[in-house]
Amino acid sequence: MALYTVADYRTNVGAKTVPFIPYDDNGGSLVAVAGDDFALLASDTRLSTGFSIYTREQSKLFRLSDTTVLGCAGCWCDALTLARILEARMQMYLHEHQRPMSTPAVAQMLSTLLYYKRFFPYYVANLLAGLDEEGKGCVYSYDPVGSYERVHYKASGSAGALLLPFLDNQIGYNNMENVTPEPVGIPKAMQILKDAFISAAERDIYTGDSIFINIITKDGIQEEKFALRRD
Amino acid sequence: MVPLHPTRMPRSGANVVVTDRLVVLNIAVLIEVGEGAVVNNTTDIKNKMMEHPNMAWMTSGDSYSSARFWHSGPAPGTVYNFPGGLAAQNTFYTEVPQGPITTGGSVLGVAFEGGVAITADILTSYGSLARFRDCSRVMHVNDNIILGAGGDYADYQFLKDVIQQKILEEECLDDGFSLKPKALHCWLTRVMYNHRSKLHPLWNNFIVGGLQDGEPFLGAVDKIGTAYVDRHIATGRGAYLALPLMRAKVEQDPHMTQKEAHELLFRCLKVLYYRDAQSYPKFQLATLTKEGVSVEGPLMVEQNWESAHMISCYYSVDEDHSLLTVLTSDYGPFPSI
Repeated sequence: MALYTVADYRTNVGAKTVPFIPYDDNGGSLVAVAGDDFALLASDTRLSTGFSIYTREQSKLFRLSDTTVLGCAGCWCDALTLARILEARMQMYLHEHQRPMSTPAVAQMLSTLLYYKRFFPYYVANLLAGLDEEGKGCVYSYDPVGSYERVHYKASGSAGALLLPFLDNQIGYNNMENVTPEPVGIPKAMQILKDAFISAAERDIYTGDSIFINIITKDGIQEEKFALRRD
Repeated sequence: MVPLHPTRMPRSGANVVVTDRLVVLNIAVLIEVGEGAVVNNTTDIKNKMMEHPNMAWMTSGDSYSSARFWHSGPAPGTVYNFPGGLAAQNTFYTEVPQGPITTGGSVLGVAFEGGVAITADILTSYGSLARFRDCSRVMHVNDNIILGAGGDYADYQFLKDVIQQKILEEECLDDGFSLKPKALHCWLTRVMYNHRSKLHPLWNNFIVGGLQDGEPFLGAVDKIGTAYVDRHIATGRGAYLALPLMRAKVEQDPHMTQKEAHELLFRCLKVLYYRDAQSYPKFQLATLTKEGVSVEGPLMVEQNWESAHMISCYYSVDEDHSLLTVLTSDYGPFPSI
């Protein structure tokens, strides 16, 4: 027979305490593709928590300059804060140097900002896309604590693991035989990106509703919307 | 404020750490009176400081305490208290995590053609106990903004005071400008996020509604600073019970009139009252259009219990039946008591 100690008994006394968790997983997925003279960045527009959807129309892309766009998925309150700090720091740079920050410079600064919070991190998956100083498309991929690398294409966020193998195959030409790899252009990249999201929305409940695609070229940033399943 | 737990009071050297600033004083007094002495309150500390204004910072140690390593530094075997720092606060006491105490339930908001409406019932609870039955949870901020609040009622009252002070100060400027809904929404996200980052959250969900540049605005902020904007928002249990109804209505009729918006909210409140045990039939309704703000209520949820008798087990006592028959459900009799 179990004996209750005073300590055991006391744990059942008093009001139930609700633990405070400073993070939330609000889901969302990102895909970025870098071409010779363009970069694409897309996010889905579903913002969720647990089994409920906060809103179906939340773009997770932040236009930082004419050549740089940031995509954030994960803990939305951290994403909002991080993007805000990044925007402020870019403005300070603009006033100090009389020119906007280049995408590689923003990329380094983002890593620094993330690592600054190494022991209370921004719980965010980031993708940074834009044009570098030479006008070439570039994509940077991050982990939440600031480790980063420049890549040709990348998928991140809640359906990152679902999206990436498809990109590996279709853009990276992985596991393909008798095919000559050729650089991807905007129309093909757009098609691959949309197909990837359609498939991801079938399997990941945190991805869906629609996607926003930013097309970054030397002529500016175009935005396109594409519908996904809404269930 | 750091909540203190009585069982965590140190046995000896009981210098009560009251605020950041007093930590410095405590160290000084401890040096003078020795580690074993008990200084209970700020008055004691201040008196000691007054008596020995110059010597309080220096000691050569005595039989009760070792000499400090350096000026106001730690004694051997003790931790250095950084003046005003976090280490000083947590030397003796750990923080008790706080949760919501007196809580309000769901808040609902919809945007319609030319305005927004926000509603919440007027109940606040202690857990599952319906505690206070006349607590307004919608706020008329100014002629551009209305606000609805759920979660901890004390935290809401605190923020309400801060917001009212902001509005007052702005009115005193008398420059013809007034706070706009997007600005308040954005400000709230920062307040909530900063509190959560200190692990001292304001345990609330807010819905901010208003008109900005002639367009209806409806935004949500929660206790960690998650923020979004939509044409319909429901918090608490409303997110499960009311939001699907609101989405269905908006999808089928994206340009609701004010009357339709009100009817939608009444229907949502009714569903909540029938199915959410922590809801209440009395509620307030705030409506904002370019004509101004109205906060109506307490209003009453329309209710109809005529079909209740068709639910088996609904009666607890019935004079015509024995207890066992009354407790018989569609799935067979309940185990005998």
